[in-house]
Amino acid sequence: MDPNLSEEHKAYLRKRKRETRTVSFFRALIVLAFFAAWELAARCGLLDPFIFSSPSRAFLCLWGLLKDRTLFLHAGVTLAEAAAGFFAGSVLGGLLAFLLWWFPRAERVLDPYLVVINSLPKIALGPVIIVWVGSGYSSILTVTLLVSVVCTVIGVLAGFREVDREKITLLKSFGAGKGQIFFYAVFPASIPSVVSALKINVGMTWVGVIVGEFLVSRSGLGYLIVYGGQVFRMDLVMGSVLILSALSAGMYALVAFAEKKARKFLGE
Amino acid sequence: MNRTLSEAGAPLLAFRDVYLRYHTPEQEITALGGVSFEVREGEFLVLLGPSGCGKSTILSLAAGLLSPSAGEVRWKAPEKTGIPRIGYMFQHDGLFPWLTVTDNALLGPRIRREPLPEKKRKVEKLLEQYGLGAFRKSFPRELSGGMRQRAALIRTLASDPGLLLLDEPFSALDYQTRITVSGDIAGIIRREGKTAVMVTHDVAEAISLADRILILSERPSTIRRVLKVDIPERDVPARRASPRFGELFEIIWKEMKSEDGSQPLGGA
Ligand SMILES: Nc1ncnc2c1ncn2[C@@H]1O[C@H](COP(=O)(O)OP(=O)(O)OP(=O)(O)O)[C@@H](O)[C@H]1O
Ligand SMILES: [Mg+2]
Repeated sequence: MDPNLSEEHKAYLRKRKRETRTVSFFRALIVLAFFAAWELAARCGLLDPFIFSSPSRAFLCLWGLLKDRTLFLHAGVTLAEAAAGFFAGSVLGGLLAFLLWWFPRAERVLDPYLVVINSLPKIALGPVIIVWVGSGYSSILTVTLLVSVVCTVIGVLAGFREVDREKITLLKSFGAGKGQIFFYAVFPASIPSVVSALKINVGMTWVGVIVGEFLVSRSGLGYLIVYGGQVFRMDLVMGSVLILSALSAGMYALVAFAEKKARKFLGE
Repeated sequence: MNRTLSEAGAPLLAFRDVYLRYHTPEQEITALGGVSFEVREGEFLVLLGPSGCGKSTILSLAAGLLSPSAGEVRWKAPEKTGIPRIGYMFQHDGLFPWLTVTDNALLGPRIRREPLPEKKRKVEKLLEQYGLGAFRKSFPRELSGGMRQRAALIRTLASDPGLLLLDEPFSALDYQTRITVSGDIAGIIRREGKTAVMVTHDVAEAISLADRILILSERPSTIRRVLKVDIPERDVPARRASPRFGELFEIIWKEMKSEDGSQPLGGA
C-alpha cells in the first residue's frame, strides 16, 4: 500500500478488499457446495447416478474424451458454429438496422412485424428449416440467424436512435449528408449500445447452435448431449453441458470486455 | 420563403414577420408569431426570453435548418448555397468524445472535403493562440468545462463561419466558471471579427456580452423590445462594475416580469 495514504483511507481500502474477497468466497462456495451436494447425493443413493450422473463421473467421462481427442473435435465444431453464427448474426443484424435507420418509413412499416417476430418462438421452425435448407451446417447457421438476427436489429437500431440531437444538428450545419452523419456521429456514438446488443446476441447464438445441433448434426456438443441422452450416458450429457457453459461464459466475457473498451473509447 | 439579401450595406441576416408553427398529431404549436429583426455584420446579438418561447427555433431558422411557415428569412451571402456558413455552439460543448481536440476542430473541413493540411495548420494556430496548444492531442474528457467550450468555439471558427449561432452555450457551466468562460468566448468572437447570435435566459449574461439585446415574449413569440447595451466597456468585469449595468438589468427584469408571474433567471 502507498505509504502516503491516510490511515482512514487505508482502512477504507482494506475494508473494500475484504468485501471483494468475501463476495468471491461465497461465489466459489456456491459452486463447490453444488458439486459436493450432487456428488454426495449420488454416492449415498439419494440420486440415481444412472439418471443424474455425478460430478466425478462427468469429469471422468470428459477426461476420457479429452484423451482420445474427441472432446476437441466436438467442442471445436460447436465453437466454430457459434463464432460463425455470432459473426453472421451481428453483421446481418447490424446491416438491417442500418437500412431501417436510413429508411425511416420502412422502419415504421416494419415495426409491428419486428415486434411480433421477436416474440415468436422461432425455434419452433427448426424441423421446417431442415426440410428447406437441408441437414447440414447451413441448417444450424439458419436456425442461429433466425434466433439472433431480429433481436440484434432491435437492439442496434435503439442504439442508433439514442444519438444526441445536438451532434446531428452540428453536422448538418457543416453541410453533412445522411451518410456522413452516420459515419461521423451515429455509428461511433452508438458503439457501446451496439456492443450491449451483441451481448444479448451471444446467448441467442448459443441457443440457436445447440438447437440446430439437436436437430441435424453428427458432431458437436449438442450432438453429444442428444447422443448421451439416447444411450443413457448421463455423464456424457452433464460433461458436455459443463463444457458448453464454460465456452458460452468465455464468449460472453469477451464481448463484455469489448463493451468496456468501447465505453472507454467514448470517454464514459 | 428564404432569399438572399443582395443590397450593399444590408444586414447579414434579416427576419421579416416570421411565423413558425410546429405540427404534432395532438396540436399545432405556434412557436413564433411574427418575429422581425436584423443582425448586423460584426455585432454580438443576444436573444433573451423565457424557456420554451422559441429561441432555439429562431437559431434553426437562421441556420436554414427550418423554413418559416410565413414571412421570410434573408441572408446576405455570396456563397452559392445562399446561406452564410454557420457555426453552431450548444449548451453541452458538443465535442465528439471519441475525437481529439484537433480532430474535433477538423470535423467541418472533413465533411466539406477541404484540403486538410492547410486547415490543420489553421486549427493548430488557433489552438495555440487561445491556450489549447498543449491539448491538441487530448480528448475532450481531459479538458475542463471552460477549455471544452473554447475547443468547441475553435471547431466552429475552423469552418470560417459567416455567422455564429450560440444556443445557451454556458448554461451547463457553474456560475463562477460561466462568468469567466462567457467573457473569454465572447472576447475571441470579437477578436476574430465574427458576427454572433446568442440565446440565453440569463439577464446578467446578456448584458455582459451583448451589443444589442432582443427580448422575446412568451409563446407565440414576438420581439417585445430591442435594447442597445450602451456600455462602452467590452470586458465582462468592467461591464458588470458599470452603473449602467444595474439600470439595464432593472429595465430588462421589469420587462420580462411584466408579462407573467414567472421569474427570469439572473442575479448581478
Ligand atoms: N420539433 C418540434 N415539434 C413540435 N414542437 C416543437 C418542436 N421543437 C420545438 N417545439 C416547441 O416549440 C416551442 C419552442 O421551442 P424552442 O426549442 O425553440 O424553445 P426555446 O426557447 O429554445 O426553449 P428552451 O429555453 O427550453 O431551450 C416549445 O414549446 C417546444 O415545445
Ligand atoms: Mg432552446
